[in-house]
Amino acid sequence: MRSAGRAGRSKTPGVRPARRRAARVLVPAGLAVLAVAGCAGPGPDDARDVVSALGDAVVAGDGAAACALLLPDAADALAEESGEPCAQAVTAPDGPLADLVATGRVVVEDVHVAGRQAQVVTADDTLFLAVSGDGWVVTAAGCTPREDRPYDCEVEA
Amino acid sequence: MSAGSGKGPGGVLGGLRASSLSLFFAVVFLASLVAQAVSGVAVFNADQRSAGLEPLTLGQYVLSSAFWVDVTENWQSEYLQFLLFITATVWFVQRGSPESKKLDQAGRESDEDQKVGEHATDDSPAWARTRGWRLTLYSRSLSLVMGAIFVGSWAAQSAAGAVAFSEERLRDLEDPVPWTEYLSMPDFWSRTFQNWQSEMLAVLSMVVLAIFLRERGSPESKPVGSSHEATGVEG
Repeated sequence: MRSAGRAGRSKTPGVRPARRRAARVLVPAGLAVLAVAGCAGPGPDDARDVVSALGDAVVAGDGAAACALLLPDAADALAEESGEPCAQAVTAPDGPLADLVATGRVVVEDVHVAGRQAQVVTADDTLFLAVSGDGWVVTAAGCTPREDRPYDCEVEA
Repeated sequence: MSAGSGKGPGGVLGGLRASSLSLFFAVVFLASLVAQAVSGVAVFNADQRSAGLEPLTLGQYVLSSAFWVDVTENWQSEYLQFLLFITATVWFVQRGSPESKKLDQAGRESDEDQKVGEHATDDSPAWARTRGWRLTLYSRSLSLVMGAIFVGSWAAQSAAGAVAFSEERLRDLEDPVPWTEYLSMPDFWSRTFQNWQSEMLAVLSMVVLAIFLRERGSPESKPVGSSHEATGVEG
């Protein structure tokens, strides 16, 4: 896109030894960067664990622990919308995470990770997560799919 | 370049001067890549903050798919541009352009013109002196390598693009898309074609403008006093 668009026939002979050495160093280095890029940050298992921990906290009535797993903006939005502290709203029997623990435990069916975002699909709910520090936080939960539109989520920032 | 190129003064400075063209572009390339990373992380972090998410460090950003899709979409188009230019100029000519061969030289040319086989000289590369697959391969090695880098960069763009696109969708509370689906999506083709069109325009401009315009001392231009009709003449 932003090319100078050079042209013309080369008048120099081939690649010189020093440039070949540079190529031998740069190519593996580039591949290493891409490999590291693919492995950086927490993975799908960590996302699954966070969702399971969120479900366990809700089932146990430990609202503080559950809210600690939410993105702070999401926890604040939940408190504002419900009119009570996050720790109480998140564990309410008819609260936004009631679907997540409808069967008494979280059954994770699928996990998708793309860069610093993830989606965890459970038997009863769909949640979205983002990397925060060294781990995942839940950015949205209680989500219902909509045709050609973003999910409608009961908890979201 | 100036007349008498080839044997320059010895020593480190002489070596640097003899490779000054490569070094100049290497420095500009690295500076541009760093500048892209610095400006790119600012754009990315604006989206992160608006979603209430943590901003990335520069180090985290240069390892992200968002950075690499932007890098590789430009790389692939540059290598495609040169691949097409290298191969198209074998067969196609343009009267008056220094970027073209002479009008009667279109094609792969004779072994004598190309100094291969029995026409090779003492300093010809080893594979140019042979016959068979080595000569065939070496005779197309430039386009093969440029083509391989193009294909590799385009594949990397598609892979990084699929992840970056899904990451954006997840941030917007939408389902991610697999790589195979991403290949048929407008995001992939829009990124691709917006780069291709600009590369083709740049080459077209170079080929045509160089018929009438001059840059004194540049091998990409005809000598300033050359006729507009002169074809395949370099300054």
